[in-house]
Amino acid sequence: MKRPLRFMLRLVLAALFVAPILLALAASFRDNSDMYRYAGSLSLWTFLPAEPGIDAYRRAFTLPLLQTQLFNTVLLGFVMATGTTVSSLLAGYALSRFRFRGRQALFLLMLFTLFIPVDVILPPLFFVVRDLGLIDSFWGLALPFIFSPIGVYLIRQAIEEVPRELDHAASLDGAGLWEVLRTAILPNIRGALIACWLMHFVFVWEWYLWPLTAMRSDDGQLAQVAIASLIDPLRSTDYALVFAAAILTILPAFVVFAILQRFLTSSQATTGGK
Amino acid sequence: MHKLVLRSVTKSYAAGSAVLKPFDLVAQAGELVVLVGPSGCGKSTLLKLIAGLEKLDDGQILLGERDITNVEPRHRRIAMVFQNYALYPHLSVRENLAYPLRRQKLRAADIVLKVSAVARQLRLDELLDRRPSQLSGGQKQRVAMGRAIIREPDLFLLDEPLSNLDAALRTHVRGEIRDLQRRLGTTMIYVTHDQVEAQTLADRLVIMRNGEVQQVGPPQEIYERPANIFAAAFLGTAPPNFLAGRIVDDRVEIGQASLPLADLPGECRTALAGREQIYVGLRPEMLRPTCDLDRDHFVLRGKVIRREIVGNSQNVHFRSEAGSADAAKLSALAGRHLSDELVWTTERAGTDDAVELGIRPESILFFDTDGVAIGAHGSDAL
Ligand SMILES: Nc1ncnc2c1ncn2[C@@H]1O[C@H](COP(=O)(O)OP(=O)(O)OP(=O)(O)O)[C@@H](O)[C@H]1O
Ligand SMILES: [Mg+2]
Repeated sequence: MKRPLRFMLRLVLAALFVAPILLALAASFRDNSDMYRYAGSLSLWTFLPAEPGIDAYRRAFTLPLLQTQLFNTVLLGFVMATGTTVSSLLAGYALSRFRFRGRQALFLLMLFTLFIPVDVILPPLFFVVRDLGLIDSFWGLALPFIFSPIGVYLIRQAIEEVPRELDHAASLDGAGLWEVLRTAILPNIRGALIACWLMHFVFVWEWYLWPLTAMRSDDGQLAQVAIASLIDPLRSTDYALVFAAAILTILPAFVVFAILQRFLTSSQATTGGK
Repeated sequence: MHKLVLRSVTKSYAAGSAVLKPFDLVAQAGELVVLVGPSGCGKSTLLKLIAGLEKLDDGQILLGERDITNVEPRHRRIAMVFQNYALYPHLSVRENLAYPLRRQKLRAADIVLKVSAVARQLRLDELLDRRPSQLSGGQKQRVAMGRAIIREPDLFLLDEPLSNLDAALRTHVRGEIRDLQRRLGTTMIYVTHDQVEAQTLADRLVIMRNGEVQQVGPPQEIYERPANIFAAAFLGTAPPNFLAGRIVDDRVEIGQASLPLADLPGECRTALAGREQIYVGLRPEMLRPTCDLDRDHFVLRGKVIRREIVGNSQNVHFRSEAGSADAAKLSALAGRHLSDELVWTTERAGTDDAVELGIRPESILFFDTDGVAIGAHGSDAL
């Protein structure tokens, strides 16, 4: 492909992904009256604030539960990311290194669950979690999803790349199963681990239906679900507030991503360089 | 020093295809045993079984006084050097050397002492802070050796440790490994498919084919008295010239040429008597021009086809009226391609186009039609 064409394509793609966020960002600095005034006819001020102000953010901070709910989301992000990474590491290690009957079948079966949408299993999942007495609890949210086929796949592939001789050398050098994992394999798949962690951290921000179902107390609710309930079809909605709260919600994910992204590329480069 | 004993060890990866047929081997304490054989004959598999990295189907492995058949690899006190060295890429040379010691939970001060002692021994002092990716092949090899010797194992296993080095370095490192093994006195099993490496290193050589032992013995003995055509073709600069022969009355007839049985050593004579079809093997380096000879000899005449010069010697390829035996069958017995040309290896510079070569009767190798040596019981007891 020609160079300018490729550049244009990238620009369009980037714009496609970034535009909604930029619009939300712009809208969060507006006033509601401002928003409604220009909504009728299309002009620059339909999208951009005529008189930018941080009033909406002030209101967002006074929302009684937003900070708790934001904390819930971030905490769940850390727990899910760490939990899935650990479970994926263990499963990936077993699927890559242990020889047992039906290993390949198990792996395929696990990948197959990727094709089952969460919505389909939601009702039975609800009943299971209810019977465990975990409805309306943090762990009721987290536990059903702490095992991730994508994570297992990612880490199993990374472990497959580590030569088996390294395990063999380690076990002859006196390492047991756990020590082989910790001292010979783990340091060589750091890139995949960070990728897995980051992916599942960010995934939590997409959660909606499950917390809506399994968490009915407002204290325990996630920020993104709570924000949605600010949109009230019966009364006029404070859209500036919704946007401001949404921007505040994605901020932690953005910061964590920005920090870890660096490790992602650099650690992959070091393990790749044999 | 520890003696290694394998008793009818068998292994198959897939049902029905045995990689190791019941396999017996004894390595005496302090001995350097070289396993040699063509690719895929099960050498690496055998090492993995000894190391405990693969489970054996049946049999028993003893190391010193211990039965290690079902012992975990980490408790076997065996060190292995891999073909690709298997250094830990994320650790410095220092930490690679220290790794086995750390697993033993040694005190930090002791680890430092031992690492520096081994580093000095293997000339690694300058390299201690480098990563494996910053080392040359020869240096990696030394680190791998260092990691193997640092915890003073009962047994060394080396799987083609030199195959990634260039020829000159290989000769050098080979000598170093030999010296090291002598100095430490640790029993060593060394796998290679390079016959020069095998002969120069081995106290005893084990020639393998398709998961079976063909012959065990000191290299010189196997060279002089190979147990079968496969072993004969495996050792030596070039495989012997194999010819079909017949026993008629009291003579061995090979094409037009013939030789009285009475000229052969006693044991050969009795073993040959009463047979019909045989194969003879004439080592190219044992052939001499007849004018240099003074006694009764077996004589071959032939026309030179081409010459190859290797250093100060010359391989003269020729065809003889004695002809060659069925090349396809011999190739199968020898496990390698044999052409119907004959070869004479000589240090003479000028050679005529017509050659007349003789060989002393006691240098001739005799085999039956199944390729098993006649009259020479080359292999010693396992
Ligand atoms: N993990 C495995 N699964 C199935 N078959 C195997 C496995 N490892 C080895 N084999 C088979 O076992 C046979 C012996 O292999 P092995 O690696 O021991 O040969 P080798 O003598 O070391 O050969 P080379 O000189 O090429 O290293 C081969 O036919 C090989 O295909
Ligand atoms: Mg091998």
